[in-house]
Amino acid sequence: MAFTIAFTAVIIIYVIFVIYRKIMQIRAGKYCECSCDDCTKQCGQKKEKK
Amino acid sequence: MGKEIINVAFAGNPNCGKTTLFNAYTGARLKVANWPGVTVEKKEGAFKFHEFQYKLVDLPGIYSLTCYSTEEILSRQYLLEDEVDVVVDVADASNLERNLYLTLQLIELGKPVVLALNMMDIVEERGMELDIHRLPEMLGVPVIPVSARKRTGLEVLMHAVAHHQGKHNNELLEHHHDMIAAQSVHRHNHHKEFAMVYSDDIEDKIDDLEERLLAAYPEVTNPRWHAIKMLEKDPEVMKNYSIQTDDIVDKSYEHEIINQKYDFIEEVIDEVLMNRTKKEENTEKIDQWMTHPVWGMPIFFGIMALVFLLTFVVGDWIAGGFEMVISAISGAIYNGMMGLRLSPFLISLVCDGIITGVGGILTFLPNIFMLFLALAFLEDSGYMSRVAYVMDGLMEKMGLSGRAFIPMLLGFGCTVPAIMSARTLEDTRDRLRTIMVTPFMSCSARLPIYVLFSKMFFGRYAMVAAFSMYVIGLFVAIAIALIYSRVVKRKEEKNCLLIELPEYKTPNARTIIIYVWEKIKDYLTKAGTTIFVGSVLLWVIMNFGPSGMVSDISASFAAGIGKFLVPVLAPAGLGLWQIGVALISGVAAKELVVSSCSVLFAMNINSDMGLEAFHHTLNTMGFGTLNAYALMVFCLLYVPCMATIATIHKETASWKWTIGMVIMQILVAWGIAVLIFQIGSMFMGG
Repeated sequence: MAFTIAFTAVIIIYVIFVIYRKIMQIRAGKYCECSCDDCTKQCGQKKEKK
Repeated sequence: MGKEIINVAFAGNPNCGKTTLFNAYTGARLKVANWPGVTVEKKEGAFKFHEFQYKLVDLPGIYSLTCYSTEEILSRQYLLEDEVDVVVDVADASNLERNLYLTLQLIELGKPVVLALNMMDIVEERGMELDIHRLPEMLGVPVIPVSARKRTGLEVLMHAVAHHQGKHNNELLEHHHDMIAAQSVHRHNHHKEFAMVYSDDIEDKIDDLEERLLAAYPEVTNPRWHAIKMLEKDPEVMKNYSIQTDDIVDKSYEHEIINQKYDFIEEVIDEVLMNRTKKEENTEKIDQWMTHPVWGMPIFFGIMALVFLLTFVVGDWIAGGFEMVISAISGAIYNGMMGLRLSPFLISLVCDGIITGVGGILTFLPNIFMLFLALAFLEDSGYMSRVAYVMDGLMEKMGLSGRAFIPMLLGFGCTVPAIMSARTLEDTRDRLRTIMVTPFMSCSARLPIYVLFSKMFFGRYAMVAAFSMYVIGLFVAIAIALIYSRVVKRKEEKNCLLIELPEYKTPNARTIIIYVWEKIKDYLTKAGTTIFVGSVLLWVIMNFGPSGMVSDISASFAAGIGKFLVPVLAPAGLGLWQIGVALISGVAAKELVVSSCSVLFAMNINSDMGLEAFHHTLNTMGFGTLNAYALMVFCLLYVPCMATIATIHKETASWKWTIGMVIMQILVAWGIAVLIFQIGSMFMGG
């Protein structure tokens, strides 16, 4: 039972974290999931040029 | 010698090393602001050399001094001001032919120009040689070889700037026509005065316009440049200097002037550039086909078909091993959870929800990998620039600027940066139109949907079915743009496409690895975040209903939502409530359509056997090949993901436009899916 509660809690916390992170990203103007800083450039290529 | 404070403007093409050179002089003493009224950066700096103070301004990178873009207008306005003493034209010596067009325009402006030949180290590496003695004789301006990267020639350049201020751009001229004057076909002999001399008829018109201009505006300091601009029907110049020109400027001579400039550039290159690289010759030979006015587009479609062949065939070959790994991991997790005696509720959430959903999308990672590998290869080889050039003619017929195809091309990867790149379009209507049609270009997130359903229902024609989605998307985009352009007339002036076509080169392995790795990382991140959360939420609405936890899925929230949509989707052959729920989940992320299908139908799609079972299940529910094709088309065309919707709102700054586009896309998707299904049913008798 303890394991069940623990695992369920981890999943719920992770889901809330992902939703919160997404909201913060959208507020910061970053809409896509990519890892680059500027969505106006093709990701990956921008990092290479740096 | 001249003023003690010398105002120097740095001008040049993008990527010529201008800013690197500028930074080499100014270092930390750099001030960055915006040009008044626009979001274009203005960089200013200062430094002292010998007895002179230099005030430097780094202008935006431009290809010409027309008035087609904000950067060009800003640069031109600044250069025409009395404040500028000397213009340093930074040119990429390894691509001199392309850079000299701006050089000639800068010389025509009338301000003293010093040509800084940057990247001379690359010229040497390629075994080319530039006749630095002859080049100033043909252009009439000092030419200083520099290397911003290696910091060579910097002091010589500033020395030349100090000496050249206040001088005319013809003191060094020694055009070869002097030697063959008897053979010259030009009546006008301006070769001692100007580097760029046009044909006699154009020179006649320039002379006449200069005369009228000076009579009306005697204060004009460079009447020749203004006369040339009037011949090009430059709106800014025509507006600022209102004189009678109809009898002289009977049409726009812009094309003739551009062509004659390039003829002269060709002459200069032939004379000063030795050992022109084999690469350039090869590029020209290949471009004869790749940018052919007739064959260019079929070649493009052929290459895209090859990309899909690789995506499907090689992708599926790699996926075989991948599926085994995913199955092994999910089996191990299930056994582990059973061993820990966790509650059936949690086991169902993890195995039927998360693993089925996330695992389902990870199955397509090899196909995504192959798609981005192929696109990276094409981009780094230099081919993608040619595509924009080839499609330019078609774009014009659609009522779009030639530059509009570049955002649309980016849409094959992800629609978010594609929509953002529409910012480069000056005309607001062009920008809105491009934003409107770009979501129809099938992004990579939709690929798993096509791969899944085409493999299940189309057998050996799977690749053809999937490829047809990209073709349909392109045609729908064209049709929407055409309809819009008929309804909303474009303004008369058209933006010519001015695009850099780099040399073809062997793609760099490191560049491609980095690019593909970034894409894979993003895909995995999305699987671990958005898809994970989507799968959990989907599992919740599938296992809970108004009365709490349910064992019969038809009593769940999911079924309730899906059944509400069935009457609307049934005419398109999508009348299963699970499909309705999957389509709704696709608004969060398109990949969720696949994850949702595997969760909603309780199917393991990680293996061929799983696909076979899924296919059979759908068939028994009356969902056949035609339904699958209608579903693929619907997914191609309907509302894009939330990230795209948010981006559309940000770029249009209008809820009206955003909501309008979403509704338009849903209606287009539904309409075309209905047409396909209904007409297809008539033919198939079903």
